[in-house]
Amino acid sequence: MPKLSFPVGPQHPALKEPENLRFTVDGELVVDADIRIGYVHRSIERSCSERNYVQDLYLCERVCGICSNAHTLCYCMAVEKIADVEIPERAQWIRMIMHEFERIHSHLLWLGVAGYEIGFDTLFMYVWRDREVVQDLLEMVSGSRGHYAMPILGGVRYDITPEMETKIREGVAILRQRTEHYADIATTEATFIMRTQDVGAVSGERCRQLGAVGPVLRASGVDWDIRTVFPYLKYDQVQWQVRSSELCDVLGRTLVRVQEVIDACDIITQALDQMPEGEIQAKFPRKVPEGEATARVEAQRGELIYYVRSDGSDVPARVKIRTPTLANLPASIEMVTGGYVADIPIAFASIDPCFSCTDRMVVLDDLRSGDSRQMTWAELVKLGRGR
Amino acid sequence: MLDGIVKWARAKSPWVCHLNCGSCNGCDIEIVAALMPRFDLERFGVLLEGTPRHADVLLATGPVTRQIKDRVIRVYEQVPDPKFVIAIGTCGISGSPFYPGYNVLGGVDAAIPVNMYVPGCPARPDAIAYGALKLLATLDPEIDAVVKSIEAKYDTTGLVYTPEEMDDLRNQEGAAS
Amino acid sequence: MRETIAVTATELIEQVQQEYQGELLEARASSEADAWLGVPPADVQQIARFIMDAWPPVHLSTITGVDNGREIELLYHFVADGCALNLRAAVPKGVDQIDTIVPVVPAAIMYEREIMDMFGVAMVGHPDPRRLTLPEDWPQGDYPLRRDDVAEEAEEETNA
Repeated sequence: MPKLSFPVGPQHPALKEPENLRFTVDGELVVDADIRIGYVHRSIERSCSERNYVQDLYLCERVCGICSNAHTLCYCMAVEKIADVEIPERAQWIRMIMHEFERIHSHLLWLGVAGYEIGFDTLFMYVWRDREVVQDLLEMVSGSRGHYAMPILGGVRYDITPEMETKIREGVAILRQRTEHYADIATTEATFIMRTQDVGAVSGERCRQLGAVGPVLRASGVDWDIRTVFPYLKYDQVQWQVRSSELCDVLGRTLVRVQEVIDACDIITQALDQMPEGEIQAKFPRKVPEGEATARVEAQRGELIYYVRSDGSDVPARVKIRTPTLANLPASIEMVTGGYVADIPIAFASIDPCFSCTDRMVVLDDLRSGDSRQMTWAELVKLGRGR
Repeated sequence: MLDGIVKWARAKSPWVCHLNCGSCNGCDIEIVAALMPRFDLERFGVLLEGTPRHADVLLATGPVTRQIKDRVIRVYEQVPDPKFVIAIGTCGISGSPFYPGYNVLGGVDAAIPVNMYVPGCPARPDAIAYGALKLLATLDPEIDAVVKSIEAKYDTTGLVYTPEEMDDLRNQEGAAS
Repeated sequence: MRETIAVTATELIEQVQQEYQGELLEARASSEADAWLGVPPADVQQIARFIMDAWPPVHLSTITGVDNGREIELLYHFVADGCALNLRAAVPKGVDQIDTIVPVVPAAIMYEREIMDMFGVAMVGHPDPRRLTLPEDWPQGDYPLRRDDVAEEAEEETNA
């Protein structure tokens, strides 16, 4: 009896790819934009109410692999507020050091990716090589290159030993020097400036109305940073300043981030100088007393806010998380609108979005021709790199 | 004979395509780091390709959710045969800690067959590189020699899991619970 | 420790109590920097307008929804002059709708969409009431953060 076989061919043409980014264009100009974020929904907030406070620490950490420490920090702050637990002094300093380490790793990561988006591959390679310095320091202190799990309810998990301190000072000195070099590139390298100046511009007033946060807001001239609005950890005891730029464009956002890396190096050094000896963990109740609280931190991407409600058990009644990227999405739409299609990747990347774009489908609806082009985000990036 | 040449050509310059099913991006960053000079998968000819249609190996991260499952399968179907899938990261293996969740189905193998598992949260670039090499070792004796020399020098237990080893592990845990 | 205290939570609450014309169901300071206000849901646009005018520029961080069994509590988390201002408006289950505040607070646009997705509370007058956090083909009527099973238990308790 002959075997029947059916060819498994390419997908049926009628099957539509789920598009996540839709741009209305007029030739090479973007007239409108729409972004959909529904595909990464992992039911985290509901899961938080089905796991205990300790388990939730590890769950919330994994909302984002790049902002993970900001999440654990903010979560701990909210729960500690409800439980009215004050964490030891030394733990606060260590938390601040980790918070700044993460700012460094994230901003350098962003700088490399931004370089890639505009075809500046050597910048990408050099920055990511230098970023390995902070990755090594993070691994030394916490045991991991990502998801360091350093803040725990009541304090921090590990201490910083004198040997580590020496290595941190050395590493931070290297990072500071290299980042000053990148600040130079951003301000003097013609190819970089050409692809970033006047690209993705949004005014400070518009950013404020739309609820934008972080470097996006500050690069449009608004001096707003949670570390000074709601001072937490030891930011009011070290010398640093809120960084902003009047440029309002991708170049401005680059300058703010690069400067924040340099500042982070200085904050870490001062923290090592000033932090006292002592305990790193306070006792924390398994059952959190009834209550509710919000906590905010200045994550590398901007304001991160947690709201937690406790019903007196060991499982939270509600954990609400608003990541900074969501706050910046409305502004990001205005950044790409009115610009060139080839500038979409770098303009959009300038908000430092916290979701992987690489496999997103992009649709370009052309007003003039009536055509609809579909491509992957990677293909759109290629357009931008070749410009 | 042709079979052997195709095998050799593929192993000499495998094109990998990265598919993020819904991960936190932690492993995605480490995949890029694995291709950067420090860990340097590129020296083995591994190139990151944007489209699955040109890929040989799919590097898949993240848990599979109800809404992403069909797309993952569609991407897998676009990769020409013979193809390989490496599931990277703890959530790529089991969906944990997002699983159980009302719309989380599990790891990558909840949607497509997997040829190698690289645990870690995030998975380390060296583990990712080792997993990719170990997979390619089955096609290329030169890479096989490299893998053997790595295993002679370092204890690689638990660094990566083949499907058989993963089944064993899951059966053990199933028996224990 | 706060270096520069703009308006303290206590001062903010006092100002609201003196100047706001509408009804206040809740008005307390839980700390120097955390104020909590509560209004009937019908007044949400009115109080939002008051807040935006009283301490400009006001930042809306996000909107939280909490299902407490009988109602969907909506918490609008503002930052007003360096003070965290949490505004509560509880929407009874069965009513499941409230006015949008987008005309007053443009930044609310995304957060209201999220509430609609997760809790099924309609934002009346919202300029773009599409799904946000859930994909388009998510089943209608499935609101992941609503706990209607809890509501049934609460009802049984009151009836018992």
